[in-house]
Parts: sequence; structure tokens; C-alpha cells
Amino acid sequence: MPSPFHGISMAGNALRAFQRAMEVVGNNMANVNTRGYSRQTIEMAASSPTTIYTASGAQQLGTGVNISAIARTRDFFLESRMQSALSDFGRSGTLSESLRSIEGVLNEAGNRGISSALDGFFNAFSALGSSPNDAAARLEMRNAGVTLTTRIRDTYARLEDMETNGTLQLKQQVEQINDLANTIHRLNGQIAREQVMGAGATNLADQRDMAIQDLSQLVNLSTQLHPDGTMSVTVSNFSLVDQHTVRTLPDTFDAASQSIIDGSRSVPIRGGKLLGSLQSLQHLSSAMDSLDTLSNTLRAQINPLHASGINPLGNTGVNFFNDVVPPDLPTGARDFNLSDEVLASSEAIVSGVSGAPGDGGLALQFSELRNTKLAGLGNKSMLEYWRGTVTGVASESSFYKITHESHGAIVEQVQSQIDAVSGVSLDDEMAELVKFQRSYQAAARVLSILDSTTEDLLGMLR
Amino acid sequence: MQVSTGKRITQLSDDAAATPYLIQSRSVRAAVERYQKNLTSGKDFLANSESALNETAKIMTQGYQLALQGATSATEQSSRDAIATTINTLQERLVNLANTRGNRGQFIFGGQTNEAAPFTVTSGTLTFNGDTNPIQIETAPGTRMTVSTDTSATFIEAYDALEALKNDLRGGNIGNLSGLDVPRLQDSFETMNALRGDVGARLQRVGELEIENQRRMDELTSTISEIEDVDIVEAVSRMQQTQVAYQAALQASSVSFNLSLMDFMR
Repeated sequence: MPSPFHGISMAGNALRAFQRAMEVVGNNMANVNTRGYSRQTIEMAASSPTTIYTASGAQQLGTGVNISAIARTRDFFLESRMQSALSDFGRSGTLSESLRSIEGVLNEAGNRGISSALDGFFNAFSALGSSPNDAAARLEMRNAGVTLTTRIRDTYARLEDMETNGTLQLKQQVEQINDLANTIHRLNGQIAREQVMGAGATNLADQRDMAIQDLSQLVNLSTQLHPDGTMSVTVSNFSLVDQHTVRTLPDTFDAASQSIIDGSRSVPIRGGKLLGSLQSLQHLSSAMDSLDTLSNTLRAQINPLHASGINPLGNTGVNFFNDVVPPDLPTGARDFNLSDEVLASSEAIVSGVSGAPGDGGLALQFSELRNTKLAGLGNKSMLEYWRGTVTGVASESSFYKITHESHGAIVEQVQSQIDAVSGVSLDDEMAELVKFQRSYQAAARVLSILDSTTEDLLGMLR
Repeated sequence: MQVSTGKRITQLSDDAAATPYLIQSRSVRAAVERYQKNLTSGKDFLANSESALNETAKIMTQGYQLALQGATSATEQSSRDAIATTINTLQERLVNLANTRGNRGQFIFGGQTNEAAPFTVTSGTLTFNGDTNPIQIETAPGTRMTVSTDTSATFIEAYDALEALKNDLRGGNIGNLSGLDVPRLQDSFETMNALRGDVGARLQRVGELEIENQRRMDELTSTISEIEDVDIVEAVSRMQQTQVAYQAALQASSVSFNLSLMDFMR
């Protein structure tokens, strides 16, 4: 049997519930600009009825309203879509940026690249061969050689710098990953504790979701939500965060296999900025390999013939490029230069075997090398070989530029879908606010009517 | 960006498909430019050879006429001696012409050994100290053209013919003059003329190649410009379109930002 004041306490409950509801709406509106905030909704349920006995038997009498939950609105499918979209976006962004820098270093768009230096080099030989008596042609030849070797060396040095920076960047990314993993682990603990006490930790869960989004930009990951409210995070075959522990991702890596090396085990990286960094390093090292091959090919093609002729100083056995004595391996692009003799004087340059002042035969032979297909370069001429490297970088760069743009569009699209579900719309919240305000007014009205009837009743007792 | 630089491609990835073609065209243009310069120096060489051979041919004509004059029995011996002196001068001029220098100071008839005078006179005979190796220029990928002319035998024969003429004039050998010297000079003139014709033909070929290369270079230049340069009219109109779109977006958003349910509630 309900108390005589049952109605009053019921109206009071309703007032309280609507007031809370308005507070939740207010909280939503206050967080309209908060990153990662998901809209909260208040869920109300009729409270358990009480039984009354009437002439016709036992009846259920409603006891008013109860707040059953304050929940975050989230769509887990959209969130996992967002994770993979962010991972793609991060990867293509890093890769596109670094390919563009490699392109900038190769600098082939203008006339200041290695291609034009190679052209100049062969053309200078053509000039020397065609007028071997011209001392100016010999000087020009030396200058063309200096330009070529300097450009190759400088380009190599700049690529090496980029490699150092790329490695540093990669280690920073691993550090960020570990920081975020620690954050997630800490939040896991707090959420689990709150859960035990029976409260859903909405704000903490928001923070954890944000950390996971940040993490998925850095690396590919999969998540699993456990019944105790904790979330475990796995990167490929490496369990980063699980229910109770967190592990540190090591920063040793192997760019060729695109994986992080964890002791004897390798963790393949399949997405995120980390993969972008690994792939950038791979592109860098292949560009550097090309330069090494090019330098060593120039040495091998020019030096032996050059050494077979006699120069205007009367010397024979002079190399054009610096070189090592055969059993040692050629040193590639890093120290590529003209030989000391040629650096010292353009008169050390050989134009013909006989050494006769008008003999330009060897120089013409060198000039013709420009179109010679070489087995060591996959049956390409030196110019074609280098062009192939440059074109490869350019097309990859343009591919990833476009890919990055489309990944950006996907991220935006998913974000707008998430916003539609979880974001705060001021108009909606205003409508909610009005709804709850009116409900509150109605409940207050009920209370005042009940009050006056109670007053009437008490007046009769007087 | 495009409007300000005038270039459509500032990084190769701006148009990756055109990249290999662009670099290759540039490379070919640079090479053709070089061949063009080689042709210029070859032309100088050939022109120098041609004028030297022209002069030599004139000397031989003169020698031939003087031989005819000396072969006539009406001519007195004193006149023959005078003619012989003239022949001597002709011989000196011939040696000078055989030792003609090119634009770079090289002796153009010396073969590859061309830094010292290739022809020297020792006791009435002309000797050749040069070699017969050719001077070549590169005119196209893998194509060489010989610009030097092997004249050693011709010059020696011409000198010897004049020497014999001179001796016969001095010795009053009328029979030899008309029977041997006149036809020998004629032969020598003809050989010289044939060489001149050969040089002239090569000179003409050089001219043709120059025109051909120039046309190729113009083509390549316009190809390269088509690939990398901006069509300014198009770029500017595109820029304006973008500007208009941007302004429209700004205006639209300034209107829609103002709309809110709050405006309709009191």
C-alpha cells in the first residue's frame, strides 16, 4: 500500500530526473568543442510499480520515473573503420612527404640534376674528341667531370642526411607509440576500478578512445574490449597492451622487411606512420644504391680505357675518376671524385690512345658510351638507368600524393559519420533542453496540484 | 604557383607520366646542341682546308701556264730563268699553304700529329712529318665524320712537279718541259681539284646536318615547353575560377553559420 504522499514523492522523482536530464544536455552543450567527446544521453525507465489492492483485486500502480543510465553514444563499427582509415592516412602522409623530399634532393625538374650533369659530361667528351687540339675543350671536360662528381656526391650526402633524420623520426614514432600504450594501460586500470564500483566511466573511455585513435595513426593495430571494461591492443603479432600489462615496443628495425625487431622475433608493420617511415627508409636506401651503382659503373667504363692512353703531359696509366686498386671493392658514390691527376690539371685528361695532339679517338669513344647499353645496369645505358631511378621516385611520389589525398577524404567521411552519431549538435541539444524543460514544468504542475489536494485534506482535519 | 613560375612542372611528380619523356628530351636536346657545336668546329676546319686547297689549285694553274710559256721555243733562256724564280716563289707559297693552321692553331694537313709544321723542305724535296690518322667530329649518336683530308702525297707530288719544272726551265730542257712537266702539272692540278671537290662535298654535308639539327632542336624545345610550361591563359582562368569558388564558399558559410535554433527561441 503506497503512502499517502506517494504522488508527491513520485513528482519529486520526476523533477529530479528532468533536472538531471537538463544537466546532461548542458554538459553536452558545454563539450560541443571538446575533441573526442561523445554525446551523452540520459536513459529513463519507469521505476518498479507497487501493488495496490482494489475491490477488483491486486493492481500495479506506477511509481514514476528513474534514471537508468547515462550512456555515451558510440558506433564501434565506425570506430574500427576510423582506426584503419587513420592508419592508411598516416602511412601515405609520411611516405608522400618523404618521397617529395627525395625528389627535391634529386632535383631533376630543373636543369640542375644528375641527368643534366651526365649529359654535360658526355657532351664534353664529344667536344674534346671533335677538337682535341683545343685546350679549352680539355678544361671544359674537367669542369664537366667536377660538376658530375660533385652532384653525385652532394646528392648522396643529402640522402644520407635524410636517412639519419628518417631513423630518428622512426625512433620518435616508436617512443610515441609506447607513451600512448602507457596511457591506454593507465586508463584501462582506472576504467576497470570504476566498473567494479558500478559506474560506467564515460569520460575515461572517451580519453582512451582518443589515445587509440592517435595510436592508429602511428601503427596498424587491433583492439579487443574485455568484460571488465579494459581494452587490449595488439600490433600485428606483438601484444602491446593487454588486460593487466603493457609491453614496450623496441625501436630496433629492419627497413628491408618493414618490421620492428624484438629480440629474435620480428614484428611486421602493416600500416600507420611507422610503416611510412620504414618504407621511406627503403626508398632512400634504394636511391643511394642507384648512385653507388652509377658511380662505380662510370669508374669501370671510363678508367681502364682512359688509363690506356697517353695524355698531353706524356703520362699513361692515369685514371679519370678516383678508384681503388682492383682487389678492393669500388667505394660507390660517397667519395666519388676525379682522380688526383685530373683534379690537378686538365692536361692529365687523355683524348686518344696515341697521345698525338690531334687524336680524339678515345674521347669520342667515351662520348658514345652515352648510348651504350650495359649488362651491369640491366641492359640500360647510364642515362636510362638514372632516368629509371628518378622516374620511379617521381611516380611513387605522385601516387602517394594522390593516395594521401583520398585517404584524407576517407578519414573526413568517417569522421563526419562518427560526428553524426557521437557529436554534439547544438540544435538537437536545444530541442532536448526544451523538451526536458517542459517536462519539468509539467511535473512541477503535478506537484503543486497534489500539494493543494493535500492541503484540502489537511484542512478537513482541522 | 604555376602562374608565378611559368612552369607546370616544378617537381617531377607533378606529372609523373611525362617525367621520363621530359628528361630524355632534355638529354637529347643537350646532345644535339653539342653536335651542332661540333659541326661548327668541323665547318671551320673544312672551310680552312677548302680555301687552302683553292689557293694551291691556283698555284698549280699558274705553274701550268708558266710551263707552257717556258716550253715555247720562242722564249729566251733568260726569260726561262726568270720564270724559274717565279716558280720558286710558287713553291714557297705551296709549302706555306700545306702548313696552313686552323682556328685553334693546329696544322690542318698534319693528321693527328698536328702541333708542329707537318711539311718541311730539305734539299729540293718536300717531306711529310705528320701522320695520316683522321681528325673526326661526332655529328650524331655513334656517327663520326672525318674533317681532315689526307693531302700528304698530293702536296709532295705538286712540289716535286714544280721542282722538276724549275730544273728543266733552268736547264732549258724544252723537250722535258712540253713532254713531261706540262702533263705532270695538269695531273697534279686535277688531283688537287678532286681533293677540293671532296672537301666541298663534306662542307655541304655539314651545312645540311646543321639545318637538320636545328630543326630537331626546335622540335625538342617546343616539346619540352609543351610538357613543362604553363598555358598562362588557362592557368590564370583556372586561378580565377578557384577564387570565385572560394568566395562563394565563404559567403555561403557566413550565411549558414548564422542560422541556429537559438535565434527562434526567447
